[in-house]
Amino acid sequence: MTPLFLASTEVWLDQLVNGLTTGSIYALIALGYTMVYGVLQLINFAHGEVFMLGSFAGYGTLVALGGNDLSGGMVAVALILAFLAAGGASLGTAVAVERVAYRPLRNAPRLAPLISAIGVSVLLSHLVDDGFLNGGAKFYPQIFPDGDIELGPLQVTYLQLFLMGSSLAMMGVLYWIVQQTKTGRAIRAVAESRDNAALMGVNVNRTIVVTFALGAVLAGFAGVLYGLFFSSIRGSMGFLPGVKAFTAAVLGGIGSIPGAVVGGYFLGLTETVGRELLNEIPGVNLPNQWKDVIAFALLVLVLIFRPTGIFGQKESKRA
Amino acid sequence: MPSPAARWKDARAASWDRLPSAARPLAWLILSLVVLFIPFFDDVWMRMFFLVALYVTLGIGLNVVVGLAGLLDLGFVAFFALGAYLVAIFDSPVSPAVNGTVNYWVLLPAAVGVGALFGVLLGLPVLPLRGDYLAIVTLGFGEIVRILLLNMDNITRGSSGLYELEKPAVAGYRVDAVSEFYVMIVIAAFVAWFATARLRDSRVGRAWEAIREDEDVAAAMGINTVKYKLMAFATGASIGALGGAINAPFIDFVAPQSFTLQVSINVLALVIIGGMGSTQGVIAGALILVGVPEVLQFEETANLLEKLGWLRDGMNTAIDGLNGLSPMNLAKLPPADEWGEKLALYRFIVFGALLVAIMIVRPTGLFPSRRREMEFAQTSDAELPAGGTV
Amino acid sequence: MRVRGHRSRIYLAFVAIVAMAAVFAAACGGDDDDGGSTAGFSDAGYKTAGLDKARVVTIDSGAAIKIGISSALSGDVKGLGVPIADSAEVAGDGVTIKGFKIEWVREDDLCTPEGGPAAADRLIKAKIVAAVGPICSGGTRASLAAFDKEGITHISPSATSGDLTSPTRAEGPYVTFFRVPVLNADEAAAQAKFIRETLKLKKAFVVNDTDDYGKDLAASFQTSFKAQGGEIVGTPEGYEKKTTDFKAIITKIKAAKPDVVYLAGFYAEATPFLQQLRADPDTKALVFMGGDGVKNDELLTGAKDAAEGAYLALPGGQGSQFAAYKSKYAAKYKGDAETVTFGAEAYDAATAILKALEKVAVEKSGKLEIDLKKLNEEIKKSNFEGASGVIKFESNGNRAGAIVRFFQVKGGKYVELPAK
Repeated sequence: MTPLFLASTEVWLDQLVNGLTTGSIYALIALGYTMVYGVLQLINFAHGEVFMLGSFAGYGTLVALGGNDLSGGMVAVALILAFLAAGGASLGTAVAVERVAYRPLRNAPRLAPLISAIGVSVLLSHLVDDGFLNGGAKFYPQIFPDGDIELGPLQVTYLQLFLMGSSLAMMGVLYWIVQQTKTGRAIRAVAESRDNAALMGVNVNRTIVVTFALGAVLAGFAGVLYGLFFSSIRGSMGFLPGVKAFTAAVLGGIGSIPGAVVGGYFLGLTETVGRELLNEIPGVNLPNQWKDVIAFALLVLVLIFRPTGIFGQKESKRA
Repeated sequence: MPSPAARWKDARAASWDRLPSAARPLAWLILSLVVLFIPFFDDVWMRMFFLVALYVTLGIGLNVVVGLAGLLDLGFVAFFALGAYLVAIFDSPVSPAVNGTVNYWVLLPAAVGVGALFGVLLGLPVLPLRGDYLAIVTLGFGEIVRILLLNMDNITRGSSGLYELEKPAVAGYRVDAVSEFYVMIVIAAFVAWFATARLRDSRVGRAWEAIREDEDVAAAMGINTVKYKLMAFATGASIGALGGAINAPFIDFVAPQSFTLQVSINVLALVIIGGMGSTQGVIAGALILVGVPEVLQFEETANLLEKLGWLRDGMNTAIDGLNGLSPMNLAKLPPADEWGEKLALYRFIVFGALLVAIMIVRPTGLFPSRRREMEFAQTSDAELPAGGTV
Repeated sequence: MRVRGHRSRIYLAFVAIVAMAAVFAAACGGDDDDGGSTAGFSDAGYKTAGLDKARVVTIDSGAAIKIGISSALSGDVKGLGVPIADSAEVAGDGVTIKGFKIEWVREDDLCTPEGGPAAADRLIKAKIVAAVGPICSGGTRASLAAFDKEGITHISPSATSGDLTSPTRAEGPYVTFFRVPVLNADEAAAQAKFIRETLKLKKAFVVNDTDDYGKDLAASFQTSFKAQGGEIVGTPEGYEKKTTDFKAIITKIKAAKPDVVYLAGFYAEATPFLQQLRADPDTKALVFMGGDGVKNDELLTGAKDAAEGAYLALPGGQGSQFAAYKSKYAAKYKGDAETVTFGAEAYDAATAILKALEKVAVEKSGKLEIDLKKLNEEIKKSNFEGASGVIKFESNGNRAGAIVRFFQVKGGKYVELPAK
């Protein structure tokens, strides 16, 4: 009997887990894009750098607390502090960027804030790369407990479990904030119509800042998870995850919070499981470097056949 | 009925009027000035001027797509790469797919044509998209092209690149010096400018602007939006390919690492900083974004900064004074000869800050086209940006 | 008879055409042979450089002799480029030529094909007499002609692509270009031999950076490894610079079940790769082999335990001058020269220029005259023991004699393995 697939079950399950972990990070970052786009119709190009600075703040905290020498219960404490520092740094960056580079342009022609955003992105990534790191990279302390869970052919390390679990928890908290709290209602109101929200007594400027802040905190958390998992961080690290996360947000339907989450996981899985699927076609053997082509080709296809994304509403068709 | 001579005069006047006033003599004047001044600059400067003129050409091309038709394109580098690779594949002795060489003057128009064709091919699927969706799809397209070039070893040699290109020859004379390539790119910039200026002031240009202002209204007025959007893509793409085809024999090393998103961002940024829709704007934008970072590396800049040594000494004295007053311990300024080096080192940081600063001070760009500026002045008070569902 | 004669003429014409086609094909085929050509410098080559006759540069009394350094001083490769430039400069510490001081002129080539010729032009404008660099293959290729046109001899400490010294032009290799590093093909052959004979392993999985260096090294390794009886398992997987996510590649490695993982790339990516490889229980103990791009102190500090046991090849030996280089470097830049990739090569490239200058510079009424032609000839004749072993050049500008040393990470340090 010939096997149904060329790749073994282990490979499929492994790629599934790989896709879900990368997808978790895309989803966390995508939430920031989608929320800012929802209230401002602005591609916050600097969001990748907000993520990057969060990652560096987490790195600094871990190193200050002992780096690779941390062990036992101290690891948990250090991680919590690193998450707090990262969230704080990202929040501070995002709020400052909004104040300096976006708010003065709120009534400017539509492309002006986009260019300003690109400027902030270039500025921040090169500030870290050229100003502080001399073009090098930093490596996260490898302090997370080793080991894995094996269920038959399925193999998941503790770190992967932690990454997937904590991202889901954070996304849950965000969803609760947006759906159940007063602040969340304000955000949704501003996204519906800024003018009407203002008339109803919503402080529009404050709400926009809160939106930036919420997205930034998630990006900062994602930065720490990214560092723990992939270890290498640098000034330009925000660019590709940033673009991918934006792709994820568009895939899910920009402006939609569940859309960003689903888009993130979908993109992560496409890059890993999707490539394996293509490799099942006889004569096709795509090495790893094709994964970005697959991701972007998927984006083009989705936008052609369903331009508003998976969860998109009519609104997103209008520019 | 007017006499034939008068009719001819009318027709001529009409076509002249469509150009910016006195454009043609002015164009020739500028071109001759540009060429006449070449002997006064060495290769280091000419290389900078070439780069500026190249980006002016690319900017003129992208301006059609972004400035006139209002289609935000973040994948412009793909067409630039296309033009360069078309020339390199047929003119490089190391090209694995093609043996022998094809005359450069055949490839140059071919690059323009292929550029237009790919512009239409890209345009077709993304036509229904608007605004930011278009931006991200074109960005993805640019990345796909770069990754394909990187991995199609049997055509492009991947990152090893294509090189030792056959130089373009004019009547047996090989174009080789930096200044000669500079003349080529300046001529290309003029051709691009002339063509787009004519298009802008024609029926096509008005259709583009109508689409940019409101696509639905434009369609309702009977404008075939599909046709005109494709035309905009094709025009921009062919100019991008033209720039690539001239750049290829100049840098003589065509490899995917030269065609990153950074190029698309640079071109877009210079179009917008200069002021969308205007050619002076593109030139100003290219000088600032491409020229200044290069000039920062020149020894003339370092020498100039050295002459300002007294300024640094004064400031250091002030810093000493401040340090005496409080235990701040401010660092002193570095010796003047290090300034140029430091500035060159941090040029990308300066670039980013410049983008933000210019957008905040002049969100319409430095030299907005008059028509756009008027539109902006009219709408800025009355039409506040609306909320998400609009 | 008449008919036969006619036929034979057709036959002759046919043979002639086939022969011409064969010659043409052979000539074309020669182009595809990367780095295989061993043609040396030609008279025509000296002519393009204007070095077929004396080309004298005069240095005024009190002025300094300028030597250029083209290296990556900013951007992504700065970490490699700045220490290389520093290493070249310390070779001139305290050196004067006939009472004239040495001035180093540094220009940033960004390690890109656009940056290379631009830096070359700036160096030429600064009136240098010779140069160290450029440091990357792409930038070097693009600037060969710019240096050649001015007759400026330049020595690259680190450009390793095979075909830089066998360009397709009719004049043959550029006579103004020399290089000190061991070529990728030689390094890969030594690595293949080491895996087969010392480690006695058979199945290798190849991972490479898609840049020029990684691709070239990986391709050479596959050829050599198969030639030595090894087997390449799975499909070689590529990654772009700055990649951090190697999980999908590791999944493929697990499926292919190799004896050894071979990585052709740089430490910035090898560090997260090793960490992710070691985090997976199935690949925790897999043998790892890397090249010169990987052997860097950053790997030890970044990867920590994950680097333990890794094998690394380092082309180039350590010559008697290494101690001198090391102490000068430590004194001026507070760094350890052992950790500088291509540092010894840069030191030797600069030394070769200085030694040649000493021989050819002539003092005339307070001014110094340097004939670029003689300088070029002296550099070609270099024969001294430097920091990276004996410096001698082949007839095409490549360095003669390739030494490759092997290291293993033990207890957080690189330990050199005894040569066989």
